[in-house]
Amino acid sequence: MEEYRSGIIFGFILVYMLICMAVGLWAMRRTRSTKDFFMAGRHLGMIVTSVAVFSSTMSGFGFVGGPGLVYLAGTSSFWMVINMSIGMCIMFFLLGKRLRLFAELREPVSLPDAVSARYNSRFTGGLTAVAILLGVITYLGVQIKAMSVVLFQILQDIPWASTPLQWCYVISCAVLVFYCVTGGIIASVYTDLIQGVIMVVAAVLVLLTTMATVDGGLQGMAEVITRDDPEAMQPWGTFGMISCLSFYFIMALGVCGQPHVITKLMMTKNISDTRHMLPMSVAGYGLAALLWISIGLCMRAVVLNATHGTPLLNADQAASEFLTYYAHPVLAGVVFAGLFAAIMSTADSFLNIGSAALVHDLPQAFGMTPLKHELRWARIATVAIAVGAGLLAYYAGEMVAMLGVMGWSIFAIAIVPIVAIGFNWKRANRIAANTSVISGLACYAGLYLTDIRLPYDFHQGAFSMLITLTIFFMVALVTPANRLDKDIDAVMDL
Amino acid sequence: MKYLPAIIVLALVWTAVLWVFLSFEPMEATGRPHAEVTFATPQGSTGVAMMQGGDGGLRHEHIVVPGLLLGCSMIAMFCMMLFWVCRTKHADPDSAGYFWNLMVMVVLVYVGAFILLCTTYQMSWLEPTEPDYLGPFPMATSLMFLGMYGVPLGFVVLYVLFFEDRILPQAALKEFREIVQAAKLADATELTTDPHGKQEAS
Repeated sequence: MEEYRSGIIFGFILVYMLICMAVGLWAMRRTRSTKDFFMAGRHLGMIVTSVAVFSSTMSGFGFVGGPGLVYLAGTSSFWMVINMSIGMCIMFFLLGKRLRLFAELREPVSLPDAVSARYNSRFTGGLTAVAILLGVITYLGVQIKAMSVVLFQILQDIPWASTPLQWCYVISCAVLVFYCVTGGIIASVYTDLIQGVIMVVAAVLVLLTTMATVDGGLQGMAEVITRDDPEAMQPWGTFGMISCLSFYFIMALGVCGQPHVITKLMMTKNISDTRHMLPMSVAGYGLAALLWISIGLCMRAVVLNATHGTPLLNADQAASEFLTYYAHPVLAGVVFAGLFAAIMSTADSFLNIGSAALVHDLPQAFGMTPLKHELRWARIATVAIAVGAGLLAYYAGEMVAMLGVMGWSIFAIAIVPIVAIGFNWKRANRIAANTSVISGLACYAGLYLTDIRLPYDFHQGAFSMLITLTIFFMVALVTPANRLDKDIDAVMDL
Repeated sequence: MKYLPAIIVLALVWTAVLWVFLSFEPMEATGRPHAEVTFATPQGSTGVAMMQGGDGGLRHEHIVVPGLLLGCSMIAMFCMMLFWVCRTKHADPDSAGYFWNLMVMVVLVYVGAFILLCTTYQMSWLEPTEPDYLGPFPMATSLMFLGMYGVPLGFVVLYVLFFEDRILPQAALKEFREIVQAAKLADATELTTDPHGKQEAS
């Protein structure tokens, strides 16, 4: 990459990081209690929450891994994007109202808190907290790693700013920790707002650039790819029908189990805000996903029609190669800021729910008295989790990336039945909840760690989620329902 | 009887999954490295960089029916969940028929779009290199965008339009306020009760 391009890109990223830190300082003045730190005092507006929901859903994977997957497998990975319209519908229909009602009734400061109240069981809440912590550490490690590696690559091309990789880890963790510790979830959602806007703008500009790069625009790309391999441009791509359908299943239902996304549904000022949040979140995600689709198709087309010269060494280079060779440096700067935005918006939410699990949910699950100065401990826990995830990312190498892939599935398997179904179904009881979480996670870990391939590449997470849903439903049917607290019982009737 | 629809849908999904698992899986059913080796594994790369699908008919012929069943039963499961949470005791009975008819219509279009996508894709096997285009993409791919992403937007519209009727009616909101009020009162009473269970003040 030429030095001036790297300089411009670095400039955009620097400005963006400074904005994030400024938001952290501003939010610190509004964070006075644990409820403010974890739940933003339940004062968030409709637009802020909508943008926070979609920007948390689209992580760095969407900006780096997504285009790479399109380059690798054609349209197969579109099934990870197009599921969001039905996925967000399921999330808002099942949880939009319900979680917000629980939030006002019992004032939980975290998702496991709400689970404990629903099932009247600290153990179930604790189990949820453990699943969250497990997912957070691995998923966060991957986000920090992605952020550090991208920063390292950009800085390498600027002689005066070249920085060793380990310092890039330190810088990445430091920026994340700074605004998360100072402003808690308030800083997180307001930076999500900035991040969401950057992602949408970047995605639209990238779509226009890709259309100008290949003769004939999108149809031109489709024709080039079809001439080489018709299947890559047909709806199932190269992975085939069953693999794509299993992506559709785990992604569409799984979004209801992403704690960093659904927790935000509890933070709105007015219950009725969910009405307009659904269309805004779907539209925002749909626009941001244009980047995923357009860069992947464009890079596959330019490599196939020999415009690009050499094929990519690694599919994940699709986004960076496109920005280096085909995008205006200012656009590349905006997109790299968008990439950092996507990574950071997911990472800060993880830090927040992770620290809640550590200082609030797990002590409660073990029957300990609430910590004195919980807010201070929450800030310390945020630093500890970031440092832990950063060290894990730095020292565990490829292992972290492997575990990171598990993140979405772990959350989906553990949380979809007990929250999405359980919060709407009175008959669901704690035996069903505990059994389904343990068996689902055990099944997925078994399949994943032993690398068992299911026929037609049926996604292991999708299979495990089907198992966990079935167990949850069947166990709840054959075991007696728990007696619910009067207020919970009444709210579940609404 | 109350749970019969859920049991049926779950059974259908499992039937489809097991049918797929027991079907013959041809070689390269889930893609193969790009025919030209430099595209698949350029020198210095750590893995396959680009894959090809090959012959769509050959790799899908054993799962045409179970695949269709899997897709339809998954859509049925998603839609059943949406239907399930739209039942509320405070809903306006006059608009109930209208609402449910619209919901059913969206479901039918959703399932119809999926079936159309599958059949259009199968028709493309006859002339794979010269597919018909709908917009910028081959017809089946455009149907995927319009059907699998576009049609569920119908549920988004219904959510917005019928929010005060099916999701959170005003009466339910009022009842909720009373529940919160009663819970707060109960908490306050508990706090003012002495350890022997007698209230300090009435």
